[in-house]
Amino acid sequence: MTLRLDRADIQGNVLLPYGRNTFPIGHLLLFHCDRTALQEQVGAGPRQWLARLLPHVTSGELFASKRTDASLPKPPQLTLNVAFTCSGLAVFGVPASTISQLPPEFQEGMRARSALLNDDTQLWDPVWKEDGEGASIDLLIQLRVNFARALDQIYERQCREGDRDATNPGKAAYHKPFIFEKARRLALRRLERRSQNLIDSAARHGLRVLRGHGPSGEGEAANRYWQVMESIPRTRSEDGVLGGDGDPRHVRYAEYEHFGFFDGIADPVFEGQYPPELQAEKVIGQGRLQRGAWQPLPAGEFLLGYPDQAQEMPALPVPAAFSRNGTFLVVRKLHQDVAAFERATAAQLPAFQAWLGPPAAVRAGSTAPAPATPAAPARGPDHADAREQARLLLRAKLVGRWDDGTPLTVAPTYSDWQAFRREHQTLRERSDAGDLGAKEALQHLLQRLRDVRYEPDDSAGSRCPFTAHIRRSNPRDSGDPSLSDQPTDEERQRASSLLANRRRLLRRAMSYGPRWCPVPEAADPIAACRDDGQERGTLFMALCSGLFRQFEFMQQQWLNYGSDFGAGNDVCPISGVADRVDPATGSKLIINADAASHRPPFVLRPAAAVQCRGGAYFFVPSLTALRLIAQGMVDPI
Amino acid sequence: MPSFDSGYYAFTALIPLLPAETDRRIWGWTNRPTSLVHSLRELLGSLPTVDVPDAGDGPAGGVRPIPFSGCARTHFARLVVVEELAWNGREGCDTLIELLKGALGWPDRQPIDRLPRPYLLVMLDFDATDGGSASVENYLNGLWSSLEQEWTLILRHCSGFDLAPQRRRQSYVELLLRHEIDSTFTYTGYGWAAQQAGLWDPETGRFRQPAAASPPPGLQLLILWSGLVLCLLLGPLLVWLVNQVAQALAWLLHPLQPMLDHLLLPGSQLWLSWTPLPLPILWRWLLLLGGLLLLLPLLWNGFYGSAFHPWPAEPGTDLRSVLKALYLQGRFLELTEQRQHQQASGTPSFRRQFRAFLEETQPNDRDAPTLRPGSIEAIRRNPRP
Repeated sequence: MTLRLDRADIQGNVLLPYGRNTFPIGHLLLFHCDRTALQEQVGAGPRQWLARLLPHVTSGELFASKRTDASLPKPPQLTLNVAFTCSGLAVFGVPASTISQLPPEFQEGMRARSALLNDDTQLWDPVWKEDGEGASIDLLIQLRVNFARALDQIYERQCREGDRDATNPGKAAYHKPFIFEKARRLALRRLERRSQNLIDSAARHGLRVLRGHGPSGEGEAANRYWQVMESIPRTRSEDGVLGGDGDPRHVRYAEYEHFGFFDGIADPVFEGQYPPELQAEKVIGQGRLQRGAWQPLPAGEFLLGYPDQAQEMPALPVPAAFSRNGTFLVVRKLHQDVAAFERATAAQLPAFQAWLGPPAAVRAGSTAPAPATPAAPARGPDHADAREQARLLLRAKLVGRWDDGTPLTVAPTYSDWQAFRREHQTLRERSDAGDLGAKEALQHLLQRLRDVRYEPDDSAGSRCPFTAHIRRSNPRDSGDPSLSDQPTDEERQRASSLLANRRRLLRRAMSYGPRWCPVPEAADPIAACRDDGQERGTLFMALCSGLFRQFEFMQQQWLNYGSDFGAGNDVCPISGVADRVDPATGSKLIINADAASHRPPFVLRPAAAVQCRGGAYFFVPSLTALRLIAQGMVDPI
Repeated sequence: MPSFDSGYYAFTALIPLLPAETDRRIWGWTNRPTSLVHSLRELLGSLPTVDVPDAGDGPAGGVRPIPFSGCARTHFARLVVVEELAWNGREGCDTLIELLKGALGWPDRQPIDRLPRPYLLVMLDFDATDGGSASVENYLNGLWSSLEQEWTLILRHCSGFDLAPQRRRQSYVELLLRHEIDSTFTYTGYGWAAQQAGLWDPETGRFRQPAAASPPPGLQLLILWSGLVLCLLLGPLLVWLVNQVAQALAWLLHPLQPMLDHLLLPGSQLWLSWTPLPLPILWRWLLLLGGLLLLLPLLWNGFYGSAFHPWPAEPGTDLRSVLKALYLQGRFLELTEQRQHQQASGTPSFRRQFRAFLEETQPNDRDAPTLRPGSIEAIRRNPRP
């Protein structure tokens, strides 16, 4: 029998991410509960505040969207979600007998476990260090604002003021840069007003907002009350979206992170997460692979109170009502040094280009003659010069996907990628024009994009390197231990995702900080990669039912260590923490050539461009548990 | 599985420690009052285990030499104090039976195993040509020359070690050999990798199918022999049994004979010739069972003994080869990177460069240049800026 989750009891953003187009801007606030004030009020103050906040907490019920039923309620103006650290639970009066049953990694917190995660807490922002003003982080509040609604309102206002036709705006007209900017400011104003309200009301109940979401020092950053999260706006031409009725200069929020890669593609699908009619489509490439078919992962991998992949119940503090439908949240502020990343790529590009050979053979590790140039004329972004082609391939080898998210397993060469993009573009245009056949073909094409498998076509890692970011953070069927020593291709086709099933994370990351731009007047590509000193990066947020088994294992064993992939102690080329002192003894990425080509591999020294600037583990209670906490009724008996 | 297998000897010994009441002047090596077990554990804990160049704040090359790195045959050495056996709790049993026992007043305590005194567990994995005791003795003697001081300090905590300087060496070898136990399940990780490397076909870029592994000659002989015996024994037995069953059925069906005669087999009398168990048949049964009972222990012994035939060594898995391979891997990576950068900025003769690489690394010489045993060079440094 299919599992039906009580969506209204689970906090929003757990079952499904808030769309990055609808909710691209958010705030993250951290609160500390004043212990002395608490002694006088015996927890009543913060609890009262929580009780008043309860009706505003966004649940996991579905909103109306393109993919869901239009009769569903509209997305709210603002979403609000609450999570507690271990000390926070204690302050809010959760009994010690319940807290002691929570897993030790949660009780200890991320800072205490920084050695295991290879983090240097000296680099952390004051707010995460918990030593600024002697305050521990007790409570997290996440706010996300509805940008689509702001865009609607601004557009309508423009129409009223001007002579534009408000009845049939056409989607593209929304994204004119000045409309976009006005809507952005409106959304930010709303968000700031709400945050300020929260801070004021919390202060009246003995909860103090923590400052210092930025580097240490006396500057403005040290006093920031909240961490702003904002997706990166991009123009249509940058995304390579051509054709249609849109202006290429139009701006919109995109799911690209700061290094310039399409982000957040692999997000696990588990039982009950989607309505049954959507599940069969969504599960492809995102569930668990068994005998060549994709199945949803068990709900217990991501929610407490349900059996997990091993058919066991994850650690479950009593009372069951407290833990059921709750989950754990990992928050990590990951600073991205884009200049260093680009500099390392630019510096090694000539060597990589020489390794690839003449431009005709710019193929992912293959010296076989490239197929004849496609009939399309050689111009526009489709036909970048050889250097640009090599640069894009080098970037793709680091991640395992091309910039726009097309996996290397599907399009191993630049020309394959361009052919794939053209096909996608043509099918989308025809599909938009009402061609049903094209619509079906487009669905099939998008399915190929998600259905990433490494067996049997890429067993040797000549398309996607074994230690590329996506292959090591989610190996899928790669390295399936149930295969025999010398598996045949038929056996490989039945490879399962045994290795990865218990290490998956629901990813809810957001970007922060302005976009990095190269120095325009620089003499050479390396000189153009200058750090502008700005703060930017990814606010990594992940949900799982076992912090140690899922998040910490992945971070320690797969991202910061390469033994499982036969790569010794090489770290992840994107998010691993490597030696910053001497790159020559630091980590490397081995890019294999096609085995038949008799060429040695290319050794790339990636920049250690990602640095953790803070983080913590949180418990995300269900709505029932929030009520129990607010009423002081968590009774362990 | 024997202690000697695939070119390695997995030596395991459990040596009893001195009785707790022994004068601490015999075993003590510090001035602090400690228990015997604590003293030995502290001593073992103080031995450096691995040398990581450039790691931590210490000077490069490590502060103290690694004791076991003096002998280039030791893959791993583990020295552990086993103080007591872990008790896994009561074994599960039937509640009803327990209830009955309780009602009858029978004691329901389960036995708990205990060690009479703590033991020192010595595990040494080393390269060996054969599994004979002379070979082990030879290795232990070699170990003594670089570890005399450490072994003396360790073994003075053990029962039966002679501290007299001229007899120490002999006593150490005898003590370890006397307390040796079979390593019944050994595991080595290099064999598979070395086999894979041997199967790689650079022409096709794929692995060749391995030749079907043939069991060692001793085991082959046993399989042949036991198969023959089984055929000789079971063949007639099977025929005889089928015959007996058929006849018994016929006897059972005896009363139906007239009807069957009429319906199916008119005139057939032959199939009813069997009569219920006469004495000679019983004798035949007993004789057969007796024979089997005699044969079974023989077969079991042969089967058990066959497990002690070692598998052949995989070439290239001795410690010297492993160290050389790791050394070559590192140097080859350097060459590849050097080459990458040169390719980007003009190409000098690769042939010359590769010759220089071969001359420098001497791939065929396992002894030099190579890595030092006990030293791990590939460990990442601390990421602190």
